[in-house]
This record gives sequence, C-alpha cells and structure tokens, in this order.
Amino acid sequence: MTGRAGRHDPIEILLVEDSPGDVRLTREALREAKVANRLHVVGDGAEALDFLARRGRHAAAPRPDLILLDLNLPKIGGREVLASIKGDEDLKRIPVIVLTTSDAEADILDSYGLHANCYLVKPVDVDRFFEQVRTIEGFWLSIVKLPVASQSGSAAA
Amino acid sequence: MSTDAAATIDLEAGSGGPAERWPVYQWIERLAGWGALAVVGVGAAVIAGWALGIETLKRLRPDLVAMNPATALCLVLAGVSLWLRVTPGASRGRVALGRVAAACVVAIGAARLAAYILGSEAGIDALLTMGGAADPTGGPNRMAPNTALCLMLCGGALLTFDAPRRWLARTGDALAVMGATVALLAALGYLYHVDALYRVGPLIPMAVHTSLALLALSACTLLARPEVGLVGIVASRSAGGVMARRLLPAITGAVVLLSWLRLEGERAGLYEKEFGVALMAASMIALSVGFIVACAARLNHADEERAAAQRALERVNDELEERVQERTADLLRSNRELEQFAYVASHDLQEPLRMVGSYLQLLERRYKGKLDEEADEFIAFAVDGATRMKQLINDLLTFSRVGRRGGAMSPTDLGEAARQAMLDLRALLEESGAEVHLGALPTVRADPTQMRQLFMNLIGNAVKFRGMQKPRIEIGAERRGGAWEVWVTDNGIGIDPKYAERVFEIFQRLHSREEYPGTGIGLAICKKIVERHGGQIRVRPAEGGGSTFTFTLPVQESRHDRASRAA
Repeated sequence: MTGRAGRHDPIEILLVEDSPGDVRLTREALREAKVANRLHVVGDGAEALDFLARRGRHAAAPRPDLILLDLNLPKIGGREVLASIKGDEDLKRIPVIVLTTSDAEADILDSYGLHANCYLVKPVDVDRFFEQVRTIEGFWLSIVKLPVASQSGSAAA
Repeated sequence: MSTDAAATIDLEAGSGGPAERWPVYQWIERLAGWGALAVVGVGAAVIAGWALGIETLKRLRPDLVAMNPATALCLVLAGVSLWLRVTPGASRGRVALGRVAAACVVAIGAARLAAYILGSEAGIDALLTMGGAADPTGGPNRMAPNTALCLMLCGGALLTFDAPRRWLARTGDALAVMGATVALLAALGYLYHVDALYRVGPLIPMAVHTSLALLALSACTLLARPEVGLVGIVASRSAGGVMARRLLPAITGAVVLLSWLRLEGERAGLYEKEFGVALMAASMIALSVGFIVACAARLNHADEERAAAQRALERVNDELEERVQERTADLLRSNRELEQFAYVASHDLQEPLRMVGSYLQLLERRYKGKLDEEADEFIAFAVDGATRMKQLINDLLTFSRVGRRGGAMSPTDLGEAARQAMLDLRALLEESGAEVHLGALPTVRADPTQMRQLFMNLIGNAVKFRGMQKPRIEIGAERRGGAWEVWVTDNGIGIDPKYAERVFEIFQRLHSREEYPGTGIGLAICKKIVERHGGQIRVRPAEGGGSTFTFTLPVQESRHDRASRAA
C-alpha cells in the first residue's frame, strides 16, 4: 500500500452513505473532479468499520485517503464510526469529512468533539453540491499535505 | 361607611334592589319604616286630641300630664323625616324635605330648652296649647325639658343622614343613643313609678306616650342605617351579629320584666327588699346562663359547620389546582409535540425533496436542449415546483423554530435590534432608495435574535410592498400602561382592513406570486415572536395610504418597581 505517495495513483475515497441517490450524486460530482480518484461506497456504519479493518468481503480493501461520512446511518451510526476511527492509533490520521443534511448545532458540536476534520452540510442545490465536492477534492486532495499512509501507523515519513 | 350605605340606596332606587342583599337589612329598614309611621300616628292623634278637645288622646289618663302639641308636631315632623329616609325611592326632593323637617325639630327643641335656661315663658309650645287647660301639675302645659333635649338629639341624628364623613355618621349614632337613653329613663320611670326619671326638678314632666314615642323614634333612627355603625354590628350576617340579635332583645326584655316584677312584689308586700334582690339576682343569673349557653351552642355548631365547609372548599381547591396543573402540563406537552412534529416533518420532507430537486437539476444540466422543447418546459416546471416546495419547508422549519428553539430572554435594546435588522437589509434598502426614520425605542426583556428578525420582517415587508413612491418607513414606540407599543409605518400599497387578521396566518397571501414573491410566512413568524413575548400584533391603514403594524411588548419591570408595588 503506497497511498498517495505516487502522485499518479488514484486517490482512494471511502463514502459512507446509505442513500443511493446521494451516492450517485457524489459519484457524478467526483467524475467531474480534476484528481483521479476511486470511490468506495459502504451503506452503513458496520460495513464502514469492516472496510477499514479489512474484514469479511472487504479483506482486500485499500486504506482510504479520505473518508466522507454521513451521520444518519443504519446499524452503527456516523458518530460511532467517527469515534472508532479517531480512537484508532492508525486510522485517526485519515481525514474524515462529515457530510450530512443536518445543520443542528448539537450534531456539529458532537462531530468536532469526536475530532472530525471538517463538517459540511449538503446543499440542496445540485450546482452548489457539485461545487462543494470540487472544493473538498481541491482542498483535501491537492492543497493539504497529509502524512503518508502506513499500515502500522508508526512507519510514517 | 355612610357613603357605602348611600351607594346601596342609590342602587336600590335605580334597579329595584340588588338580588344578593342580606335580608336582615331589609327587615330592619322595614321595622324602622313602620316605627316612623307609628311615631307620626301618635303625634297626629295628640294634635287631633288638642284640636278636638279629646282628653284621652292628649293625656291617656286624666291623672297624667298631656303631651304638648308642639311635642306632637315635632314627633310628626321627625317621623316623616325618618320615614322619607328609610323607604326606597330617595329623590333629591325627598332628601331635602326630610332635612328641613329634622332641622325644624332641632330648632323647636333648642328654642324650648333655651327658654328653660333663660327662664322665659315664651315659645312655640305656649302658642300651640290653644288656651291650654291646666295640667294636674297645676302650671300651663309646656314641652318638658327632657322632651326638648330628646327631640333635639333625634333631630340632630336625622340631620347626619347622608353625611359624607364617617365621624358625622358616628355622631348621628351617638345622638340617637343619647336620645334613646333619655326616653328610656322616662318610660322606665313610668313603669316603675319613679317620678324623678320623667321629670326634671319642679318642671313639667314628659308625658308617658311622649316617652314611648321618643323611644321608638330614637330606636328607629338608629335602625334606619342597618349596614353601618352600631346597628351594622348587630345586623351583621357574621357570628357576632347572630349572637347580638339573639341576646340583646332577650336580656333587655328579661331585665325590664324581672325588675318590674321585683318592684311590684316588694310594693305589694310579698317579700322584703333583700329577698327581692336575691330573687332577682338568681333569676337574672339563671336566665343569662340559659341564654348565653344556648347562644354559645349555636355559635359552636355554626363554627363547626364553617370549619367543615372550609375544609371541603380547601379540598376542592386542591383538586382544582391539581387538575389545572395537569391540564397545563398536557397542553405544554402537546404544544411541544406539535412543534416537534412540524420540525421533524419538515426536516424529513427535505430529504426526498432534495433528491427530487437535485436529479431534476441534474437532468436540466445534462439534457437541456438535447430533448425537445416540451421536455425542457416540463423540466422547468418541475424544477420550479421543487424550488418552491423547498422554500415552503424552510419557512415551516423557521416558523417551528420560533417557539421550539427560541433563545433566552434578556434586556434587549429594541433600537439596536432595529438597526441590526436594517444592516441585514442594507442591500434591499439601498436598491429601493428607502428612507427609514428610527425613533426612540425602549429596552425590553426579549430574545434579541427574534427581535431582530421581527424588525427585519416588518421593514422588509414595508419595502417589498411599496407603491409608486420611494418607500418611507417610520419606526417609533409609546408607553401604554404596562406595555410598550411599537409601530412600523410605511407608505406602501396598504392592506384592506378586512384582511387585517388573515395576513398574520401562515402561508396566507393577498397577492399572486407574480406580483410579489414569497410564501406568506413573514407576518406569521412576526405574530409568533410577538406572542411568545406576551404581546400582540395588529395592522391598520396608515394615514395617507400604507400600513401601520403595531406590536406590544410588556414593560420590563425592575426589581425596585416590583418591590414598591408589593409594599
């Protein structure tokens, strides 16, 4: 696993989202993105944790460079997924972007309290949604300098 | 006190008597009325006796002194004055007549008394004796000095009726009591054959029927105002009144009767003085004890009943209180649930709507111009519908948040809130060239964010519904009792008064979307905000066109204000 070390490899993005409509919209938006990316989609929190731990049918899953996390998920909710990721020595370095419809103060506070890297409210307007995905992609995948991913979490740099 | 009584009389005259009046008052007034008539009757009979020379009417028995015709005239006058006062239908004329009659009585009594003091023989009584037969006393018939005094006292008491001051009314009671004492002494003197009680020194004595008539007159004068003074205590519907009404006649009657029996028995030689005193003491004790114990038993019983009733009342009160609290809690809960429902419903509606809208837009984005013209048109309508629905849901969410997520109340400068709102609306105000005149606004206890929203909606509306001229908006406030009245006046298109209620209902619009865009939520939010702050909002046409929106907010009371009002 080399992560983003080689600039030519596509970026691995994990989208945790249960609504097929939103998945498709995100996919469409990312298709127009500049950076080559590969989108992995899981429909609930339990599967997200399986993906990250490479359990079951996700045994061959790559380590994502970026996680887009919805808060309202079946089985295991977005908050628990966020807590598990940020509680894991290795996984906590992966930037997690909470992407949800809720603009409730409590959700925003909770998410940052659990060390979400940023919190975004999905715009209702499709043009603005595309714009938002482009911004995420541009900022997190092109501008921000992230640690080189490693499996143990101690072999960074 | 006397003004209270006067008010009651007026009320009676006007409406034929209040329904809930304590019946004892009415009985006492009726008694006083009959007493007054009886006094008039005695006086008239004696005058008739003098005029027609009927000795029985003048002196009852040949060996007794005759009633002086002036005394009889005074009795008639005083009786009429009293009768006018106690019978319903007090007109100004009746009151004046009553006063004149009472004043005449006082004047005659005073003149006679003065004549006695000065040693003069002149006086109205001398004129009226019509040659006057000599009395058993030998001298000419005169009004007795104690009669003159008693008449003066009673006339004075009658004059104090309707006195505006409490002490004057009390003086009236005192005068009547003194008059009654003089008359009672004379009457008892006749009953017990004690000459000194009805005669002052060597002067002419008070006649027996004079003493009885004067006793009735002074007693009825006291009774004429059953709601105040001494009689007020006796006539009261409270326990004290009940006791007084029972004991007073019984004990007075017993004392008079027993004393008479004792005296008569002694005079008849049935027993010695010591025996009589002992007998009277014993019987007085026995009677008093009997009366008082009977009365106490009744009072105890009444008190127990009252206590039981009070306990029952307290129980009912507690139950009622409990039920009110339950009901209030229910209402609060259901209100919260409703707001929660509105919030959840609109929030959850947003999700599928976002899908509809997003994919319609995506369709437009990708396929505009690639399908035929009709398809483009259909898509445009669908996109428009979804956009409007999105706006409606957003408005509904905002509306439900006013109550559900209202912030804390704190002292809020309304002027500052209005200035903030104008800042938020800067673009709109500049673009429309609106002039806003902001007067002095108070500081009230309110939610600052909501106050800002309130001004934003009202100012925004004033600009939005402008007429042909440049918008001119005036904002001001005025204190009205316990509330501030804040107004926002514009020179816009105005609102037909028949829609003055409807404009505050949610999603009610008076214009088509083409004329003026919007969902019709703004004023509904204003209303909800104002009501949440314990105020009211309304709209009326402004002078020279346009509308004036007025809302009230309770005046913020400082701790000092509250303390000084409680004190």
